[in-house]
Amino acid sequence: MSKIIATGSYLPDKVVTNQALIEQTAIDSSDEWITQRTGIEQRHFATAEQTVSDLAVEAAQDLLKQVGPEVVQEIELIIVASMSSKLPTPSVASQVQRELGTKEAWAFDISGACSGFTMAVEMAEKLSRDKTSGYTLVIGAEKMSSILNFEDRGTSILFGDGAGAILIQHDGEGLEDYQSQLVSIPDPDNSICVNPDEKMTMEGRAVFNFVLRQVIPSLSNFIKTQVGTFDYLISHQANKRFFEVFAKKLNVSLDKIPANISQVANTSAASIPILLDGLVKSGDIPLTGKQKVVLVGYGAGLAWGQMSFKL
Amino acid sequence: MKETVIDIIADQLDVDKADIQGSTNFMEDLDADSLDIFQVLSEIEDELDIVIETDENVQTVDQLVAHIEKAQNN
Repeated sequence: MSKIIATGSYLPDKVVTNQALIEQTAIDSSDEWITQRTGIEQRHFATAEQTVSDLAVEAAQDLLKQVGPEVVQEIELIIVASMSSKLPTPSVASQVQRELGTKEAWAFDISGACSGFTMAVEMAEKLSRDKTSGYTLVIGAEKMSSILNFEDRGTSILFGDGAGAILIQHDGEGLEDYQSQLVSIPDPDNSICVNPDEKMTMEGRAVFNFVLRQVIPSLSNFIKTQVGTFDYLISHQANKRFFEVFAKKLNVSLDKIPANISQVANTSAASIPILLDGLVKSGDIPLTGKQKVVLVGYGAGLAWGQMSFKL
Repeated sequence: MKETVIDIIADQLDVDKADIQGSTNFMEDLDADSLDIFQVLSEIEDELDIVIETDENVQTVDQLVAHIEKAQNN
């Protein structure tokens, strides 16, 4: 079976606490309100000079430290999920390929917002089935600070910058025990949108409605019918309070739904791989192939993706 | 049914049942936000096995009860 043999992540050095964000912007809020309503205590912001591809490359290099630089020339596929790159072309994946020095690989991006990483994993898993050697590099990378309106309390407090990566070693078959479901539904109101002026808007009520009425019932059914028991639900980090609803609706302990939103906020397509990398580095997920995880990402589109596999 | 609704609101929002009247406004009186209201709706749907139409804003307990009655009659 193909398997995930390494993970990596990168968070920019600049840490912005809730209080600092309030003081530096025109947001009418408080540290207490933000923490209580979202679970977010701080986020990382990239510098003005750093690009999405810079963050993606840092995450990839963190990953490569664990497997050795010789792997670079055996990477056959690079997929990057992102919604915040300022450079429409070349793709972030092509820039990553250039910076890593991978001579020949298929490199492309996926624009799936907060569910983008699950879309990228799905593509990687399916494409890896045709490959008996080599590696696929999957990255989620976002510079959300570059698309935020810092006068809008509804969005500007929620997001942070960062990148996460996984490396799949091909073995002619997909990931072990892989099950997946990816769905998009029409959203006439563009509930989550980055406008032509490059600033983000979000209709919170519509998004809550979507998560509670579409994503959670779908995830619950997916787990019941296709997954069974699992070790961890590695969820997109949108709001800490969603995790409590997930635990209750899925009838699982909150211990099975790890979170890092308090420290990194919502990093959109990067949230799942950053969280996964933290769990791998802490030893909670040692990549021995004995644990079953469920990934779930959801957001603009409206779209969501859920998948389970052993790693 | 209204008693059940008040029980769920009190449990979900961690407020005293005595503070919940028909005219109580979720956001203004109970410091709730949109996610709180959707959590209340979701719990009521599970408890009463109904689907509540949420296209309109639900601002007060009486409005919520009216939505529930409408859902039960459909």
